[in-house]
Amino acid sequence: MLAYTPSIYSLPPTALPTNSHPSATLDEQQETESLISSLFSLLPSPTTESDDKTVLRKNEHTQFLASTFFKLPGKFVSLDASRPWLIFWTVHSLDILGVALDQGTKDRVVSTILKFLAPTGGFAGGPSNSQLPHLLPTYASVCSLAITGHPGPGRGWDELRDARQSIYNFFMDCKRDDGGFVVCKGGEVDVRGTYCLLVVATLLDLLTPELLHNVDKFITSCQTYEGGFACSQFAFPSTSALTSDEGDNEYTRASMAEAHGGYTSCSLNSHFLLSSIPLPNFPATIDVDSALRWSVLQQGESIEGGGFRGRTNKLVDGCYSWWVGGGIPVCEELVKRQKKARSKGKKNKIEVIGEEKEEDWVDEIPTPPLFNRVALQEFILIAAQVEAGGSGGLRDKPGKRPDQYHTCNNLSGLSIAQHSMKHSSSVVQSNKDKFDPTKGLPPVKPRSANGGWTSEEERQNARKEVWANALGWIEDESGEILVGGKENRVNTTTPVFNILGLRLKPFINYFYCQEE
Amino acid sequence: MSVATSSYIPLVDRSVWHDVKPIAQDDGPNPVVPIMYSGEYRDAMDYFRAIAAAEERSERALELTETIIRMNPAHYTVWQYRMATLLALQKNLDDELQLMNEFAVQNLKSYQVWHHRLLLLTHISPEDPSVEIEYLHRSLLPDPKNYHTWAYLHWLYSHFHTLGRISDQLWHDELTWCEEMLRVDGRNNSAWGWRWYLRVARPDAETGKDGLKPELDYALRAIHLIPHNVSAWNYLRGLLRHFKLLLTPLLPAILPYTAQASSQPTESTDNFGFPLPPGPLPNDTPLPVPLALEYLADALLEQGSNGEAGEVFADLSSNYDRMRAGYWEYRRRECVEQ
Repeated sequence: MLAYTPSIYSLPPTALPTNSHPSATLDEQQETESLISSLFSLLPSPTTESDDKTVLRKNEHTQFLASTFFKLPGKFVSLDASRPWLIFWTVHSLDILGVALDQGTKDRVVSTILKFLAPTGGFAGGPSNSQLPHLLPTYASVCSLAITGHPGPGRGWDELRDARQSIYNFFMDCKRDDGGFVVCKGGEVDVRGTYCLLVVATLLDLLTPELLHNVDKFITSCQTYEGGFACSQFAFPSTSALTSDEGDNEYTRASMAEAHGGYTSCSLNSHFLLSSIPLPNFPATIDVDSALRWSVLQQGESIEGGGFRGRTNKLVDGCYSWWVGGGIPVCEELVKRQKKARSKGKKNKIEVIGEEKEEDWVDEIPTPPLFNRVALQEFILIAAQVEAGGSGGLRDKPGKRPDQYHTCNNLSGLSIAQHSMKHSSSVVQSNKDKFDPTKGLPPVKPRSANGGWTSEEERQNARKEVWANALGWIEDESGEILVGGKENRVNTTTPVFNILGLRLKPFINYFYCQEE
Repeated sequence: MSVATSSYIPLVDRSVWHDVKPIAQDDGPNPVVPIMYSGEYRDAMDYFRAIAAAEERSERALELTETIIRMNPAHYTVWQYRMATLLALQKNLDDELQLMNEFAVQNLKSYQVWHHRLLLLTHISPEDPSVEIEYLHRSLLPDPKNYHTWAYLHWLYSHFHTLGRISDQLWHDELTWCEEMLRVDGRNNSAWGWRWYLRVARPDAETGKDGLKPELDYALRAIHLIPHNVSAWNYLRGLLRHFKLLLTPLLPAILPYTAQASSQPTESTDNFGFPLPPGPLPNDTPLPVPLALEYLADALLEQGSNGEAGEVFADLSSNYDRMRAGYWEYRRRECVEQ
């Protein structure tokens, strides 16, 4: 396997060829190449054996995160509307590092976050007597509660359960007819909002046809000619007088900027979540092959340390370790499904008789690692970690200060690079077999009379599919790759959701009332 | 810590605020991630909570929101309140736009600044959006890849197009401007994305009708100018995929970058009709260019020459693009499976 994931040290440090054509992009690229490659050349060649130059300095990062968790200096006022994110970046980073919080701290996290919950539904960027509910803090708050909360009064999960209808109402307030969502009252529309909403609606059992109407088309039309996704799309009212109520003839859509790692992550993950939902002709397809191609092309060369860039011809940045790296297992699963669908189509042409049973599918022969998981780990350990004995924390690139956001996104990417995460159709099937439709919380009340599921049977089928697929991610332990030795091993984050599997399972089971 | 600077007069001591009872932030006991606010910020927010609770729409509310936004430009709640207040008071929104110009100069390029601007333009709704377009062109000069600005430019043209206010001249001038951006930096992928919008994605774009050949020419010339420019390769591939065109017919323009003794029959390129590399390649253009090999392999696949395509992917995996060895190996296996 290592033949397909060569170390940076085994590759020549070749600069981007200039083609004798200088430009601003080339200048910036060369500056970054020299900054990163000089850092690498100072170090002896590391291997997958233990090596003190590529140690993940877990204690220093824990110190860094702790230093801001209980008190932030005044300059953090620029993040005063992102306090749920400060919490999420910290508790999720600690989770990945395997650092346990004491119960007193967990209780403080839960009580702080519950202050962000608006009585009208949704979480705000700070206390709800100061700020409006917003889709992004709602994701960060709910995931933080998944990590630090429990069932029982004051422990967070019961309060979330009691807020389900109000959160749903808030989501419907954000909804637009073209399938987009405003992030808050009067706010912007982009795929970050869609992603955050879909994760929460999936986890809390809030999905309805009216909430999902056109959401798939919104996501699909953010995909650009490059294969990655842009922040948003514009729905031009169709000039055609003929509009069918089945299709999407009401709009002609165009993506609203170039492909970008953060928005590609949100879009791929949204599409994946939508793909579990059993609605007819849903979700609208995306071009999976070009999404995969775009993603792997964002990985930088050895001279840039093998990190990911977020856009074509931009600079590598540690935060894309998660945004781009974390999307690749999702692409891999979507590609696999596409292949199955195609081969199934071929088969059916030949074998007319006999119904194929989905259960007969076996998980396929493993594909080679689709991105260079060794090089990404080397980038994170050597270029993104702050130097030993410094402040701790992880950063964009050498020369930049570390922060909670880059720490969390580098560590999440490190987890994805170490662990081989697969979405297993056999696990999904066994989840479906286990699903008990007699157990569940009361269905949320849709806004419009016919906005809900058409029958209880349909609703239960949707719940089953969504729950079974959310819990379908497993680690292929034979595919583990640890640069710098076993001590560097971090916990396994779940693609799509970006919380640990051991957090996801009890949390979603609580809201679907399913047994462990 | 109640007062940060000696010149600062707390709102409680200002007559204009005497009738308002400030409301403290409700953080609960012992919150995590508490921010040690400056005296000014805490003071302003205490009064903001009070006026927001009373839904007060007033001049002093506007001043207060500006004070807060200057300290924290990401405060979406305060932005929302400001916009609602501007509309309720029927303020002159052109003045507000001026203020936003100043904010952008101070490089406060948050999501909120740009979204506020979008709402302002929606409400002002000028008959001719060219002043705003010129403003955007200027603000991209020092920061030619600012994502927010480009997304806003896409929105501006789209929105005013639906209102029927983008003249043919404006579309034409915009393309000229975009080509100048690409002439200055042909690697600026944001500008390539804008070209795609202007030439392909927008309603009534010409490329779908008779402008396709010139567009392919444009992409090929860009490759010939900077053969290692991923933006240009992606644009070319994007065109071919979008219009469901074959890759093979353009191979004569691509093969010089593959440095491979190709299995392609060497046809005369006399009747080729597309731009070929002009004479010798630019200096510092090591061959093969990996994306040219990828193009060749995909063209071979399209011709049904799976075995040969697989060999090219294998070459990429083991020799010419080792960083992506796993991905190219995956592409190779696909050739074998099919």
